[in-house]
Amino acid sequence: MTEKQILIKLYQRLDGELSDSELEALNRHLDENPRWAATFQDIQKMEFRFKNEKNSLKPTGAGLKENILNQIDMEKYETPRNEPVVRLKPGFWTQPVVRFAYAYALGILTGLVIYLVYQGEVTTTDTPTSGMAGTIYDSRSFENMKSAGIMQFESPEVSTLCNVKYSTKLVEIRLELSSEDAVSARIEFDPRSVGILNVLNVNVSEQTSVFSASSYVRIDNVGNNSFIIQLANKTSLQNEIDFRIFQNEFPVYHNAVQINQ
Amino acid sequence: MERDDNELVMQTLNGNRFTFGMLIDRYQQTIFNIMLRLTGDYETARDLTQDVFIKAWEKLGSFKFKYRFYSWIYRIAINEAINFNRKKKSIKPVEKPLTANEEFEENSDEYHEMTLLYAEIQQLKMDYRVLVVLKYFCDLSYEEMAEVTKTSVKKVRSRLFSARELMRLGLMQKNFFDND
Repeated sequence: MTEKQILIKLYQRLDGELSDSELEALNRHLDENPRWAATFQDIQKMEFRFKNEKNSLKPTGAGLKENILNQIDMEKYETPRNEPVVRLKPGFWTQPVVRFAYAYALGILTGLVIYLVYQGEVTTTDTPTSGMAGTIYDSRSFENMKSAGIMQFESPEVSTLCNVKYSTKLVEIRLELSSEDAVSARIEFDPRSVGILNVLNVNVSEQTSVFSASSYVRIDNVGNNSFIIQLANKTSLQNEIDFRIFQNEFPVYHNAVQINQ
Repeated sequence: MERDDNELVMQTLNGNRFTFGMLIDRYQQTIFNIMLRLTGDYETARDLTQDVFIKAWEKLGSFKFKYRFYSWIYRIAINEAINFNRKKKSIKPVEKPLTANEEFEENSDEYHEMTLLYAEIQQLKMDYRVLVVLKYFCDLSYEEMAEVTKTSVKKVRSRLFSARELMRLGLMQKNFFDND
């Protein structure tokens, strides 16, 4: 304990604020330290003198009360009027908690209405997947897009139909390819003018695979397959879409159509 | 049965001058002795005691019945003493004890010791002196002192400890403890 802490304990002892264990510890400390025992005696003496004085109050002298009462002007003092306190008890419907509940319910209701309206709009504009083709970048369906041309080829080994249409933002190619053995179809374009967006396999056999690069889409085909190839029409400038068919790496068909005419 | 303070206050507020007189009877000596110990001068203490009761009369309408009357009027007394102390230029040296203890003969050891004790109280700064007076002459608890001085119990404890220690050290220098 520091000196200050010991002094505090000494005064607390005089005030009767120490617990039994604290008192015991302090007494032990005083027994072991005569200097602190002497300090405690000094404090006790000072306290003793004060305690003697507590009950020795000096008389005020005669006439103090009369002097006070004479100086009090009764007329000056106005007894506060005990006006009845009017407390308006708010009605149930005007209580803050009820008002809050109103606002809360109204908010929920408004949210619900907005949700239902929005939900209704979504459902009404929902179209089948087939009808959505060509509508990614603009609102026109494939039927309403401008035709660049249809490339058709038929041989005993392979038959194909490639329908190319475009709008200001989209070029869509619908390709049907049929071959008993493996053939490779390749659609080529200028990557500065058009960029590959999506190749949708509408109906594809397991042996068929599609590979797309920045300037072409290659389809290794076996069986009867259908594809939708969507390209971004970047510039709206005249450009060619090339269509080639290879069998055993040997070109069997080549044609091209012009977009943005 | 003795009526309690708040009942007397209530009746005074209803215009009963006699009940205010009862409150004066009840507290004038304590207030006077607080003032005497705080100012160290008999005439000043008497004048200030009058001022305290006049002020209490004027402010009685603002008394809140949830508080104890004595803590309210002690508070007025202390404020009066503090205001007086601010205006006062010098502290009047204590030449004789302010006690009414008849046991002390003049020039006895006890008389001398009480003179030193009162002189030491007068040397304390006012907020310490107030606590010493409330503790030793009004016999208030720490909680009651905190209520009167509008401060925390912790502050009261800390300040009273400082006041007691300042007095002890001051008295030690004046050989107060050497006579034993």
